[in-house]
Amino acid sequence: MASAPENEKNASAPEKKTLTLKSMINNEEFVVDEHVALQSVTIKNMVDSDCAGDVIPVPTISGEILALVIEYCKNHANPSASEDDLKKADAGIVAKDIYTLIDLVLAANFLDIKGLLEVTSQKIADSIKDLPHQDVREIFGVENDYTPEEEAAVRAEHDWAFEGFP
Amino acid sequence: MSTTVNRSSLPPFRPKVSLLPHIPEEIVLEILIHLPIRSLLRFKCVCKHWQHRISNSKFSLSMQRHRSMIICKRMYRRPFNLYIIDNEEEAFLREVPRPRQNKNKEMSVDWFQILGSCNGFLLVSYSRKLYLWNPLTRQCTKLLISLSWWDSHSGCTGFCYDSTTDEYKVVMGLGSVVMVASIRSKNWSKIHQIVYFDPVTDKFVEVPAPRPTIEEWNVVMGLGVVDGSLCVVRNCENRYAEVFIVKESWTRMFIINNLTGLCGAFKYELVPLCFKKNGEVVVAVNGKTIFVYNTVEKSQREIHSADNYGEINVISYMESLVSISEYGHEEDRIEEGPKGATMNLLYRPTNTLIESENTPMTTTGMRKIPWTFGRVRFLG
Repeated sequence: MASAPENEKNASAPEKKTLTLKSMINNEEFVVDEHVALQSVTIKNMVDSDCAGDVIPVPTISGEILALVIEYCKNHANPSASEDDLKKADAGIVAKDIYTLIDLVLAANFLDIKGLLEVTSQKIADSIKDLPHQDVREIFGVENDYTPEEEAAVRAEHDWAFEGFP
Repeated sequence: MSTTVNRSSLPPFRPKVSLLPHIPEEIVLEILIHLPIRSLLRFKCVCKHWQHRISNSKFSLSMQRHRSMIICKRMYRRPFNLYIIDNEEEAFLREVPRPRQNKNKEMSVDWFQILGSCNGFLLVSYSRKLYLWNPLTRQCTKLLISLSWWDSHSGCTGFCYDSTTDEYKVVMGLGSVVMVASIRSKNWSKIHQIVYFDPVTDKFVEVPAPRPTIEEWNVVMGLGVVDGSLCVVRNCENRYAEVFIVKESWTRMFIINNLTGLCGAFKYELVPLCFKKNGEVVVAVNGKTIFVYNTVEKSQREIHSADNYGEINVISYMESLVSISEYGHEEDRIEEGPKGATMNLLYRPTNTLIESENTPMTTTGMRKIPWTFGRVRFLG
């Protein structure tokens, strides 16, 4: 669809190589400058070992998340961006709800983008730190395998940390 | 119980379609590492696996950790106070809650002492018992390690971690007795190492100690150089002392029977100074008194003693006419001075490690006496 005219553009300006990333969840495609995409170690390895075709399929990552990843990579590929600018831009990218953040951290992990993994993990930690542990269980889809007695015992170990929590 | 977290702060549950995929272990860890301590302690309740992860020592050590200082202020017949100074913030005292002996009872007026620190734990003694206290998690665990032999006012202590065996060790010394207890085994074992300084290589070399007669009583009470030979005194069951000397190998010379008569209640140092032809031996006891002990008649007489707060420094030496002038030092004649160098026989208590005292070489500058005092020495 949109990739055909992009390819033509690419041919007319060969010094700026691009890659097309395709979300395999909703088939959305993104054309990005190669040096932007290469911030992902996973993509870099594919390109280096000539495994990358014209379109690089990205499994398990939705277009919505992929767009965030690309935004992050673009910002960080810009050599004129100041530290402060980057910080602000990063904060904007991770200003999302917890579920989007979890998808984003998984994407960062899959694509192996260390900086994004770091900021997203920090943001997730910040969003869950004041939640009761019961909510954290729900968010992470963890099954409670404690008996009520066991849970009470673990809780009693650090009862001060539970002050004000259910 | 002031602020209760409103559970409605939880974002609406996401649609089932994109329900959470499996989150890999390394990502969960990455998130946990960014959490503050208080949240982590609560999230131990999420599930057993999380509890395990958070309690894991490798995880705890990979967290960002602050350096800080803990100060204990003790007052007579009043509860002690504990303060923390965070090294990374502006230096001011923040009071920290006193550790609890068991779930409810807070430590208060008894003798509290910080003995060492390692990996966020403080080794403390309270009411003559040992505790491992983590001021950050506020967990305080009583160690099932007996402290009966130790004197909190004059001992030196250390606490360390051996990552190769994941083992914590308590090192405590009293006089010349140094003991090590591992947190796992819960038992003390006595550590003895006799080292001498080799002036040729500038290194400390270990001398194998004489085999103990009674296995559990491998307590070296003193080292001495007598007639140019290394001499070791060993405490046996607090009742008698054996005196060994290096001839071809370790040779037991004699036994001092009346150990309590010589040393009193605190039997921690007995240094042989010289042997007389008539079977008498001169010994320095506890850095306080010099006795002559008759090995034939099993009797003793005191020849000199320091007063209550004083101490005696003594060393045996061999007279000679040598001069040090050719080494280019200023000569400073002492009219009436000590005959020979003094040697510091005391331990200096440290919070971290037991250090060997810096013992001077024989000041005669001669190689004729190869032995000098070595001390129990620990390395990192």
